[in-house]
Amino acid sequence: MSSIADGTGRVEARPASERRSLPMTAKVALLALAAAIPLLFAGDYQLRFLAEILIIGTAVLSLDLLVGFGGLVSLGHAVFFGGAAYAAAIAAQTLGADVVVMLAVGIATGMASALLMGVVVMRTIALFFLILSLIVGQIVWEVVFHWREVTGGADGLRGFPVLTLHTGFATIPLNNGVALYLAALVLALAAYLAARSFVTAPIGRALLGTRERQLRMSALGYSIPRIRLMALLASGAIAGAAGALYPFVNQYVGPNAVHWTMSAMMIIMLVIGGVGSLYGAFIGSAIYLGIQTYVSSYTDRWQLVVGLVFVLTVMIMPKGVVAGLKAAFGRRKDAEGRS
Amino acid sequence: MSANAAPALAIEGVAKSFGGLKVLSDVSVTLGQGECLGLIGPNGAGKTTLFNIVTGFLIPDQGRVALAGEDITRAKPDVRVRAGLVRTFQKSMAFPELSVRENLALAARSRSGEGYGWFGSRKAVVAADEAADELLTRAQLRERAELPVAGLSYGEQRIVDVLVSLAMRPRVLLLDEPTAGLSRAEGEHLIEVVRTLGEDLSTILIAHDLDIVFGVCDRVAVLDLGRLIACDTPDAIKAHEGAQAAYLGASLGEAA
Repeated sequence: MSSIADGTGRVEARPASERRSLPMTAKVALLALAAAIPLLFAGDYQLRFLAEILIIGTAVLSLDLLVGFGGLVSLGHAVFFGGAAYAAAIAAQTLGADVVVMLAVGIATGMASALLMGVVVMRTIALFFLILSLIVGQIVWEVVFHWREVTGGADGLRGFPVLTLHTGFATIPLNNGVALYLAALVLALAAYLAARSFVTAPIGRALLGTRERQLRMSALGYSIPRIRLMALLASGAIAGAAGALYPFVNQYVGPNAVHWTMSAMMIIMLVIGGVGSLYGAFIGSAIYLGIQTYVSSYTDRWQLVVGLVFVLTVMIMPKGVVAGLKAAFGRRKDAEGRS
Repeated sequence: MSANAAPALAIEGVAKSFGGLKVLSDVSVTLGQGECLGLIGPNGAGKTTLFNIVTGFLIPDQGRVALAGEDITRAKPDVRVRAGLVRTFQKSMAFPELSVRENLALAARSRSGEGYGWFGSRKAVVAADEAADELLTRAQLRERAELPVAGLSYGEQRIVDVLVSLAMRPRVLLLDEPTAGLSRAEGEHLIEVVRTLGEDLSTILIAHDLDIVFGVCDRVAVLDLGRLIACDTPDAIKAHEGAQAAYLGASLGEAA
């Protein structure tokens, strides 16, 4: 546990002067450029795939709030995401698929699931938290799996109305790769900024404190259940927003979306990308889904490749791929600087 | 202190057992406003258990605890802290990887009720940092503000511990062996910091260094095998036969 969770606090606590990085405007420009490249070169299928990466990545980002900053490893996280996906898919059948309505439904569902989860797991930590979150998740899975009239049971749901964006004077259908990619991009960016503001705000520092020393936080006058519940709600809201868009990109939502293996997949993505880094969630999700999509066309044993990448990441770059590459690159730069 | 004012802290008939082991039986002590009360006794006498009961980490089997007249026997630890009852621990409990300032600010935000802020909490962050810096300046540790606590000397860490508890602006402060492991000079400096920064503070001090206890405390309570055997002025305790026989003996002779 500790080795996984270690990365975060120190990164955040480091004084700004120590960080060698580009000015903010240059960063934003680079990011915008990187985001625009797929629009020029990628086809419809690839753009949809990128949208999926961004959406799953956003869900993994929300998991990072719990794991990386709260030390709360949850095997029920798929409930926040998949529950919101189902809620949006079901609501779309009667309300239509206005993107704002879908996001509201998703966020509300995510937060409601987080509240439910919070009530059950609030006073537990570590292994008990893991097991209880797993149990809550599997109860939800059972309900989804057997409630055929509403959820479609094992078959899941498909055939949704087209996702639309009302701008006041025009209604834009979000039914092609470009539109879905841009929608997912906005979602991912907003989620990242929200998560970042969370971890740098007092609540985020307090959450970090509960991960390190619970007793001390009580002695400092903090209510640990309150801090954890807030983290769960923030995480649930972000995961729910991601879940709301998922059915429209994937064009299908099935019981697997709430299954514990989905939660486990998110944890693997998080570890590969870097626990406690926030942006690592997107990298991890890109690597995992990339392997799943492209290696699986050569061999059914693509999960073996995921496993290898996972093991290698943990062994060689325990703080995740990005931090690992950065460290290797940084060392080389330092050496050059000295010579 | 006016005659009818409630004591800062009242412990009444507190008893606690772990399994068959009676750790505290029928302990009653009061702490007056602005008073410094020493709490001494051999290892295992129940001093820390009493602190744990007063601060809410344990619930007593019998008896009650009142803070400024208000019953807090069953209140949660964080509720008691926000009511102004703050403690330190035997082991340093600061966050070693956070900076000194951040440790103090975490405490200051808790006290001001802004510890859970998310959006728009910039002001609270700045205010807490300023409060932290002010305390550090007064304790002459301002130049250490940016360092992680783990990078300080042991003596400085213990002072930071005390500053963290002072950042919560307590009404009652419980110090659990704050001077353990410190040299005489460091210990005296730490007590000096508490006395100068904590005006109007009511304090209970657990310490093994009897010179410090007898030197700074208004009254001293002696605990032995879970019973309060004496509670009086330092001079009276030094002369108290029961206290001597039960525990003090040799050390009191040296201290006197």
